[in-house]
Amino acid sequence: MSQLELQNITIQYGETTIISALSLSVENGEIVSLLGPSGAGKTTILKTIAGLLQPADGQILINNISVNHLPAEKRDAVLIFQKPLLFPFLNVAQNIGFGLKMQKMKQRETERKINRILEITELKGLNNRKIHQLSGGQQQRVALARGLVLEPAILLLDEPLSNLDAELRQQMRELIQTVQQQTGTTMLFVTHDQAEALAISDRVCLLLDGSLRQTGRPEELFYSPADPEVARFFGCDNIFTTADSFRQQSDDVQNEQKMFTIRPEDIEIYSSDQQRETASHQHLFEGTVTGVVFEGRLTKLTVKVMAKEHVTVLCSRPAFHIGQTVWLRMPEDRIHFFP
Amino acid sequence: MRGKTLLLCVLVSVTLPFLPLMLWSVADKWYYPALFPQAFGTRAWFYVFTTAGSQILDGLFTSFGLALTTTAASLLLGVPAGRALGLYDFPGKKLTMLFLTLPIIVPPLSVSMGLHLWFIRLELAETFFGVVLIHLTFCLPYTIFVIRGVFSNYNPDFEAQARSLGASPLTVIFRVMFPVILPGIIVAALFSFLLSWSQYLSTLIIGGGKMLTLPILLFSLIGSGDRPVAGAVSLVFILPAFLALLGSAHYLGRTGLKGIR
Repeated sequence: MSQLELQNITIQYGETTIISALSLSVENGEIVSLLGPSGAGKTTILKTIAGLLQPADGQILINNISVNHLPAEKRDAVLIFQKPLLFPFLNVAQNIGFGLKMQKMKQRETERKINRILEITELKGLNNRKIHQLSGGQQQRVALARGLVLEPAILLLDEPLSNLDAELRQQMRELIQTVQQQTGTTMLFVTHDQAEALAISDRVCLLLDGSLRQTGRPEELFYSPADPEVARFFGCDNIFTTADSFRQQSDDVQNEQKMFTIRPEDIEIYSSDQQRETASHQHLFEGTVTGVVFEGRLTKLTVKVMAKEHVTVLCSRPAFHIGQTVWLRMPEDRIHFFP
Repeated sequence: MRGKTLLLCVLVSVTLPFLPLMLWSVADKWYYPALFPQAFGTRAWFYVFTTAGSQILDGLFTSFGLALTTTAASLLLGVPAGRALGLYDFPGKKLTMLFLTLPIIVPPLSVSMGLHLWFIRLELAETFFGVVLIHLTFCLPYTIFVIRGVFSNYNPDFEAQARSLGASPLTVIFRVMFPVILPGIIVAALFSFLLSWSQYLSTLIIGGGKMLTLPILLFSLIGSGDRPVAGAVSLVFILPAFLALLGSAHYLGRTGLKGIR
């Protein structure tokens, strides 16, 4: 059963359409991430689901019930903003208990829930801390706990990791996953960081130019992008057409013109000496290195093949220099044709 | 050590103007060129508490009533206005700001004289409500400016967050917005209270002698030339204002601005 369903949601700011006819569903217990570049309207979608903005058109269903007419406070969805937004005049426990207080929950039950959530979010013992006494990571965890404690049908997370530094982000990401497993909370997670989306979610929805381009498991979007733009979003610049590309040299010449892609890290690269030793000479293309950018874990090489095609190759610890002649091999099973 | 010296200097310079008042209030005989009273006595205070006691008590009540009503009205109107000016952009915002500043720039005498005729015509002259209105023309701009300042640093996402956590719009106002802007509200309330408390000219013109506030009594006593009595009444006049100032300073020192210590 889907916890959240958006049916043809259109969102406008004045005359400008931000999101047009977007449909999306999140199943019970899933983490779905809504991925897209900054300014794509991701936060707007979350605010609309939470009831803080009204859609111009379309239906929002939470637990299979239309909530379009319900005000924000009556919806079984809690939005956690990018900034922790903890109330400075309340301490940690009071902040977490804010929503429970709104539900007029009994004192004892409230305390029990707060203590349980503090334990889950690794904040035990901080009940009476003032907000300004917390570190950035702790504040973000309190914000998460404040939403989780309400056990909403769906928890909407708006880039909750973007204000944290790399190490904290990693910890927080793992915490969200652990918490999700422990509590079974359904989450819709908004981010512009593809690595974050791929690592955290069961499914990823890619939002480009106000509409959903592709929805699927992280591996699907990464290895089988629906169109060149999706491929480019995931850092794959190798978009070629069969008609005018070097692939025509290979054995399986396509009759019709088709576009295909191959991930830069899937391309094998050899120097001239190595090439002679390579067992299979099939599908080897000669090229010249035109760019070398060291990016840490991997080095990005740009290779000019057949005097016109620029191929991006990612490899670890390469010993190539600009101007060097190299040989590229594109394994058949790694080539993805766009539908 | 230097800090203490500085503190002492500040303390002396602040309390210095009050010293002559205190001395006058207990002076029985004080003629030029004596630096201090030649004879001390309690005549002035006796006068304040017995002979003129009921009159001064009435004045205190009237002043308090006016100042509190004006402060309440000023906050009631000033908080929404300050929020609009601090948070939102709308056409004519700068012009609105200018118009709101006018009563502060234009001398109170002109404002009161100008409005007097209107107030007579609207039967507002010589009424409590009329005097509250004229006090508001001076208090409201200050309130709006203070509250506007608070809201220009205010993040409305706090309210959205509270809504999403289940708070109704009304609850958001009292449980989220109000605590966040409380320091600003206290400053604005203090300004309004003190401004209204010390109004003389506008009260005299619009009140037409019917609203006998403490400043009006004070001026008539000073006019009568009885300096010890004027000194004593002045101290009675200062005391509530001073207490209000101390109270708010104590509160602000505790929470700091924006509610963060």
